Amino acid sequence: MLAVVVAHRPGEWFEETLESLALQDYESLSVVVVDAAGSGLGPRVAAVTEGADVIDAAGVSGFSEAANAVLSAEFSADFLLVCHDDVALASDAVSVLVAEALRSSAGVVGPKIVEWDRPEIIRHAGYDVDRFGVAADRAGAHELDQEQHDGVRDSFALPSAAMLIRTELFVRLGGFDAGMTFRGEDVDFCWRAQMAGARVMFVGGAVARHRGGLVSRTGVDDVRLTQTRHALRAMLVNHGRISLTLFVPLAVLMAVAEVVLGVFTARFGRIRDVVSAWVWNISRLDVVLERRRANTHVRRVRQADVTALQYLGSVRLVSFLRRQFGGESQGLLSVAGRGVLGGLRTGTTRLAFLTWAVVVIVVLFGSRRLLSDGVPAVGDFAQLPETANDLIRAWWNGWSDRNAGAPTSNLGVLFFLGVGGWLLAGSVGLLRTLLVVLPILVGLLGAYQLLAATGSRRAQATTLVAYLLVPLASSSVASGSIPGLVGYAAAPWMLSALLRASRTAPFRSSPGRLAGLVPAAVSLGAVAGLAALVVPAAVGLVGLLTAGLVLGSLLAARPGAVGGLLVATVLAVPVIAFVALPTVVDVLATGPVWAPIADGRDGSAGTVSFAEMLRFAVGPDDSGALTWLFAVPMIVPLLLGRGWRLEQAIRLWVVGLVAWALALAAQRGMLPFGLPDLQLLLAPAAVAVAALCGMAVLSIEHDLRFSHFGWRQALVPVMVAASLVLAFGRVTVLETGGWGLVERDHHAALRFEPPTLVGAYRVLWIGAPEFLAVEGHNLEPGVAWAVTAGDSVTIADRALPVDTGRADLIETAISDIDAGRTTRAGRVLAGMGVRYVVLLHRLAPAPFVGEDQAQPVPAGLAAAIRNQLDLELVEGTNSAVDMFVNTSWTPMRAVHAPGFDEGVDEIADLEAYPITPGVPVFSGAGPPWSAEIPDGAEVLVGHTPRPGWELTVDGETAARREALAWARAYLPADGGEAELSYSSPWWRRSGQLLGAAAPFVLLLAWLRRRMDRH
Amino acid sequence: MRSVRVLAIVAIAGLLAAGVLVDLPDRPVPDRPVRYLSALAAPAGAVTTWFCPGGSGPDGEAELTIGLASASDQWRTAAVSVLPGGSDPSEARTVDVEIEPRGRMLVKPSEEVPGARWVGAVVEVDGTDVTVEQILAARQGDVGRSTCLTRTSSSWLVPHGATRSAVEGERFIIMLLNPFPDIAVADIELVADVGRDTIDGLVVPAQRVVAVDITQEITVAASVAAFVEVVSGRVAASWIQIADGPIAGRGARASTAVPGAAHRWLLPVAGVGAARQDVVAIANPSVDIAEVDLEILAEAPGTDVSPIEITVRPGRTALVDLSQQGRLEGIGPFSVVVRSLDDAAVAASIHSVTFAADADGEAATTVAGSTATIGSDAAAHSWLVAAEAADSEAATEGGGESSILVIVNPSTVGIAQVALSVGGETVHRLEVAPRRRASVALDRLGSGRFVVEVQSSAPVVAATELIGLTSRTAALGAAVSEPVPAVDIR
Repeated sequence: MLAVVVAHRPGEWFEETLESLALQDYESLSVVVVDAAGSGLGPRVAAVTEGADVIDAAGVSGFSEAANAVLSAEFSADFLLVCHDDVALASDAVSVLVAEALRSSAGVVGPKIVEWDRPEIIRHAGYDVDRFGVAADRAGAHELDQEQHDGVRDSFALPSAAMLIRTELFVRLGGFDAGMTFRGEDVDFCWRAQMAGARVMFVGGAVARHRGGLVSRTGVDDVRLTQTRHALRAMLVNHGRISLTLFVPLAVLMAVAEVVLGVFTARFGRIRDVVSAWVWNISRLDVVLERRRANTHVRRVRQADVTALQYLGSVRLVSFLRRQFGGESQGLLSVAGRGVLGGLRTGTTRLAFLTWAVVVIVVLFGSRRLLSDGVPAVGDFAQLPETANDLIRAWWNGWSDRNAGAPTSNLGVLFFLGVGGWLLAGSVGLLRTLLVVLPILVGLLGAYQLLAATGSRRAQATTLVAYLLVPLASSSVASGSIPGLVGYAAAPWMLSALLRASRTAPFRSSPGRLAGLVPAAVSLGAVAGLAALVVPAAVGLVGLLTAGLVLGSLLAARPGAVGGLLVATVLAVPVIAFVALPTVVDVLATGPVWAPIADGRDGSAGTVSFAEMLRFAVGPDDSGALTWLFAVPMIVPLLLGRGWRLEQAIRLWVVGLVAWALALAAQRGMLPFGLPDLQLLLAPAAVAVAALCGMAVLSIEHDLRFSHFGWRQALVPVMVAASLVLAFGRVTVLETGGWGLVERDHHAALRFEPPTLVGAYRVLWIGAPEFLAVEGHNLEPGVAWAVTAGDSVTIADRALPVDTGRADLIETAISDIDAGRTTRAGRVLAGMGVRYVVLLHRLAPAPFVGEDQAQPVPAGLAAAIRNQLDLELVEGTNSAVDMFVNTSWTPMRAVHAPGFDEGVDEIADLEAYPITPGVPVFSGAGPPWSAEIPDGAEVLVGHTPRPGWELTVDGETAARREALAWARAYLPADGGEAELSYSSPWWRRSGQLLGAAAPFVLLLAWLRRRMDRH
Repeated sequence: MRSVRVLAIVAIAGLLAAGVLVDLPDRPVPDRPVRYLSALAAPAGAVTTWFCPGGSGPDGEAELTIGLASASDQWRTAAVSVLPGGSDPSEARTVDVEIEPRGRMLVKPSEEVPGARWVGAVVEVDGTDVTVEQILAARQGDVGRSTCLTRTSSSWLVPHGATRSAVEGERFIIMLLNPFPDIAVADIELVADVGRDTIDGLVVPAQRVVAVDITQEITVAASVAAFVEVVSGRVAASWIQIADGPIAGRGARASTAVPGAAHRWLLPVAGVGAARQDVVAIANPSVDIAEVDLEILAEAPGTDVSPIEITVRPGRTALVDLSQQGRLEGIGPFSVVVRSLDDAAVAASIHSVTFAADADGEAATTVAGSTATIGSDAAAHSWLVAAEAADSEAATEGGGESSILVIVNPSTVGIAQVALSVGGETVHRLEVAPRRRASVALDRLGSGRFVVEVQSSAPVVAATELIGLTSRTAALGAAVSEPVPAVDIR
C-alpha cells in the first residue's frame, strides 16, 4: 500500500495530513509525497512521517500530472491511496478501504469525506455523473452526518481528495488525464475505470477530513471554468462514437442556453466559462482523439453498460431548476440519482407527489371540455385576435377602439399574450384555454408553497387540496370572471410575500431586518404588478391582505409584525408601478379614474347574501351547504394551536374576515363607489380558508400531543370526516368538464355583419357588469355599458383606456334614450359609428343560462331603446339578448361629400340633421389602413380626436377639420392611395416598451438572485 | 396565550355574527328612479316625437288632419312622416313643415300618400314646446280630436266601443301604427256584451298603419273592449268610433288608447243635461273583480256628491250612464275620478253624446255631436293645450255655449294656483280648490287658433271641450312636465 500525497505549497495543516497517515492502523503503508511545487517539503515530511519519500515534481501543472508522477517512480504496491495534501484520514480509514476493495473486488474505493473543521458535516459521499461528464455530489450542501451514508455502495465517481486505487488499474489507465489540471480528473479517471471493468465504490465506513479551499490557496477562482472544460473533455473522450453523436449536439444546445441565460442575467463570467470550455477542448482535439484511441485499449465493458450507470438527465439543468424551485437540503441528485421514484421513498415526499398528481389530474379532468372544445366567450372570456401577431400589433398600436377610441399604453398584457401565442406556435385557441386553466394551477402552486416555511408537507398538501376545493376558482370560471381567476392565482403568492415580510415565525427567512423585507416587498410588488397587467383592480388585494394581517397581528397581540407588513406594502408600490408601468403612464397622462377598477359598478347593493359569501357561492357553482364543512378545519388551529400556529391562524382568520367584510359592504350598498367582481374581493378569504386548513394539520402535528386526552383528540376524526365529505361532495363540479362554464356563448345569436363588407362600426353593449365582455361604465345600479369596435369582442378590447376620450357622448346618448328625450337615438349613435345595440339579459344564451340567473336590462331602459324609431330589433335572436340594428348607421370611417355634416354644431343635432351613410373605407384591421380615395371627398374618421392620427394621400398629409362636432374629417387635396395611421407619442411608446420588459427584468433579477444564493 | 386564544375566538365569532346581523335587513332598493309610464305624457315631459295612429284618406271614414301648435317664440321645424296603410304600396314619406312662433298649422298627411286608404303620422319636432293632435273628420260631419301619443307600447287597451252597424250605423275601428323599421305582430282580444273574439297574429308592417275594423269581427255589440297585446315589436294605438243613429248620435269620436290599466283615472270633461248623455266606460283587464268608485269633482263650490260605486268583473267593461244618476242633476259641469279600490287596475274613458233636441223634442243645443276622451292617469304642473275659439260675440250668437278650458285639481289638500298664458303672456290666473275643477271660456283667453300654456303650482289635468260650428270635441292637453301619477296625488 502506497499513499501518494500530492502537495502544493501546503499550509500548516500538512503535518496533520501526514500524521493521519502515520497513525493508520494498516500496517504496511508507505507514504510518498509528490511536491508539485518543488518547494522543498522534505524536512516537513521527514519530521512527521519517518521513511516517507518525497518526489520533486517541480514544473508539473496541476494535480493530475503530479499524481501521475508516481507512475514513473519505482514503487511496489498493490494499492495506491491518492490523496490531497489537505486530507486527514481517520485512523482506520485505509484498512476499511482496503478490506472493502478486496471484499468487493473494487478497482477504486473512496471514503466519506467530511469537513476539516466540522466533521459532523459531510462534504462528499461519492459522485453521480451525467452523460455530459458533470458530477453532482450525493451529499447535500452542509448535510449533517447522521450515518446516513455509512454503507457501502457503487458510485460512478469518487473525489480525488482521497481514493484508493488498485495500482494495476492506475497503471493500465495511465493515471489521471494530465490535461485536467484541477477538478474533473477524478470523474474522468473513474469513468475510464468503469470502462475498464473496475468497480468504483463508496465506503461510508471510512472517513477522511478534507480542508478544501483551493481557490484561496491559488488565488485564482477558476472553479466553474475548470469544471466545465474538464467535464466536456471527459464527455468527448469517454463516450463511444454513437453516443457521442447524440450528446455533443445536446451539449452544444445546453451551452447555447447557458450563454443566453447568462446574457439575460448579466452573468458574463459564466458565458466566458462556457465559451472558454468549448474553445479549450476544440483547440485540443488532437489530445482528445489520442485519448479516445488509448481508451480503446483499456475498454472491457460495453459503452451502453457504462452509460447505464450514469444519470439520465442533465446535472446542470437539474441543479438550475432545483435552485429556482427548492432548496438543496439533500444531495442535488438525491432524487434523480436514485431514480425518479427513489425520491418518493420518504412518506411526506410521496404524499406531496401523490397530492399534486391528484390535483393536476382533477384540474385537467375538470377542464377537459375547455381543453377539447375551447372556452366559450362568456363573461370576461373574450375572444383572442386571430393570430399572435395581431396581439403584438394591437399592443404596439397604442390605440384602443373602446368606446369612442382613445390612446392607451395599458395594453401590456397583449404583448405577453402575443409572446405566449408565438411560444405555442401560433395556437391562440390553446393560449385562450390556458388563460383560463393556468391561473388555477398558478393559484394552487401558490397555495402549496404558502406554508413551505413550516416544513410540513402534510400542511402544504392540505392547503393545496383545500384551495382546490374552495369554490372560488370554479365560480370564477363559471361566471366568466377574469378578475376572479387573477385573484385566485395571485392571492396565495401575495399572502406568502406578506407573511415573509411580517417576519413572524415560521416565515422569517433571514436574520437581517431589511434583508428579508426587501425581497418580500419585491415579490409582493411583482405579483401585484403582474396581476394588475390583466386586472388593475387586483392591486387592491395587497391592501386587503395587508389590512387583514395587520389587524390579525394586533388581535394576536403581536404588533411587532405590523411594521414589516406596512413597510413591505409601501416598498411594493414602486415595484408595482415598474411592472405596471404602462398603466402608470396612462394615469400620469390622463389622471386617475375609477371606472376600470369598478368594472361598471356603482355603490349600489347586490344580491349575494353574507352566508353565500362565506360559502363562496357567488356564481353558478353553488356547492350548497357542503362548503360550511370548511368551518371544521378552520376552527381547529384556533382550538388546538399554540405559539406561532395560533398566531398565524388568527392572522389568517382576520384576513378572511376583512375580505368578507368588504364584500359584504359592497353587496349591502354601503360604499359610495363601485368595486370589482365579488370573486376578486373574496380571493383573500379563499386563500385564508385554505391556509387555515393547512394550519389545522400543523396544529395536529405539533400541538395535539401536548393536550390531555379529551375533546381535542376528537377533533381529528371530525376534521377528517368533514374533509372527506367535502372532497367527495365537490366531485360534482367536475361533471361538466368546464367548471360549470356554459357550453355556448352569445356569439351564435348575435349576427354581426363583417366590417370588411359593410364598413367599420361599433357595438354598444348594455347589461349587468358581469355579463359584459369588457370593463363597462356604470349606467345605473346593476347596469353598465361598453362600446367595442368590429364584429367580435377580443381581449384587446378589455384594456379600458384611462383616457376615456369622447365616451361622454355615448353616455349622453344612452341617457337621452333612457330619459325618453329622443326617439332618434340611432342618428346620434350613427355619428359615432354605432351600428348595433345589444342588451344582455343573461350571461349566456338560453337555455344554457336559465331565467332564474337573469339580470335583465331594466324594463324602462329596454322599452326606451325599443321606442327608438331607427333601432330595429332583430327578431329570433335569443331570450337572453336583444339586438338592435341602427338603421341610421353610418360607418365610423367613410368617404363623404364635402360639407356632409353641415348644420351639425353638436352631435345631438344629428337627430334633426342625419348624415348620409357615405362610402365605407378603412374597414379592415388597423391602424394603419390604406384605401383608394376619390377626388373631392372628405374622409370622416369617427374616433376621439387625439394627436398622432394622420391621413396621407399619395404621400401628402391631408388637412383636417372637426366633423360632427367631435370627430375628424380629413380633406385631401386630391384623390389617390390614402393611408390612415396612428403614431403613439414617444413617451407612451417608452412606457409600453419598459412595461413589456419589466416582468422579464424582474424574472431575470430573481433568477440571478437565486443563482447567486446557491 | 390562553387569553389571546379566547379573545381571538370571541372576536372572530363576534365579527361573523355582526356580519350576519348587518345582512339581516332587506337590501336597499337600487335608486333607479321609477318613471311613470303614462301614455299621455313623455316620462320626462320633454316630448319631441309624437305618434298619431291616424285615420283615413279624404274618401274614407274619418279623414286625418294633423294639428301642430307651437308655444315657442321661435320658428319650429316638424318632420311629419306619413305612414300609409291599407293596400297602398307606397312607402312612408316625410315632409318638413315650419311652424311660425306661437303659431298653429294643419297638415293633411293623406296628401303625401294619396293612394292610401289609411294614414298615420309620426311627427318629430325640434322643440319640446309644440303639441301635436290628430283631428278626424267624419263623413257625417262631426270631428273627433285627440292629442297624439308620446310613446309606443307593447300593450294597449280600448275600454269601450260599439258595433251596432245596422241600427246605429256604428263602426268601431282600431288604428295601429308601427313607426319602427321592423314589423310588429299583435293579438287583439275583444270582449263584448255579446261575447268574446280574438284576432291573432295581426301583422303591422314596418312604418305602416293598420286599421282593424272591429265591426267586421263583432257585428252587433253595444259595448266592445279591445285588449291589444303586441307580441313582437311595439305600436301606437288609437280608435275611431263612428255613429249615425238615434241613440249613438251622429259623427265621429276618436281617442288614443291607453297602454295599460291604472288605479286612478281623471276624466276632466263630464256633465249631465237634457240632451246630453255621458257614459263612463271602465274596463277591467285584470283577473280580479274591481270595486270602483266614480268620484265627482264638481265645479260649483260647496257641491259634494257621493261617489258612484260599481263592480267590474274581470275582463269586462262596465258602462255608467251619468245621465241616469239622479245625484248629478243640477250640479253643473263636473269631472270624474275613477278610482279602483283594490288591487285590480282598470282603464276608463268617457263618451259624450249631445243631441240637438231633448227627449221631449225640444231644442236643447245649437251644436249636436259626440266626443270621447280617454282618462288621464297622471297630472302635471305644465300643460300645453291647443285651443280655438270664436270671438265672444260670435259665441254669443252661437247660442251661448262656448269652448272651455277645464282644469282639474285632483289633490285633496292643496289649492292649485294656475296661470294661463297665451302668446307668452299670462292672460288669466285662477285658483282651483282641492278636488274641484275649474273652467275658463277659451274666448276669454284668445281668439282663433292659439295655444294655452298652463302652469300650475300643483299637479293638475288640463283639457278642452271645443264647440265648433257643427261639432263638439273634447280632448286632453299635452303634459309638458314630468307627470305625477294620479294615484300618488294626495
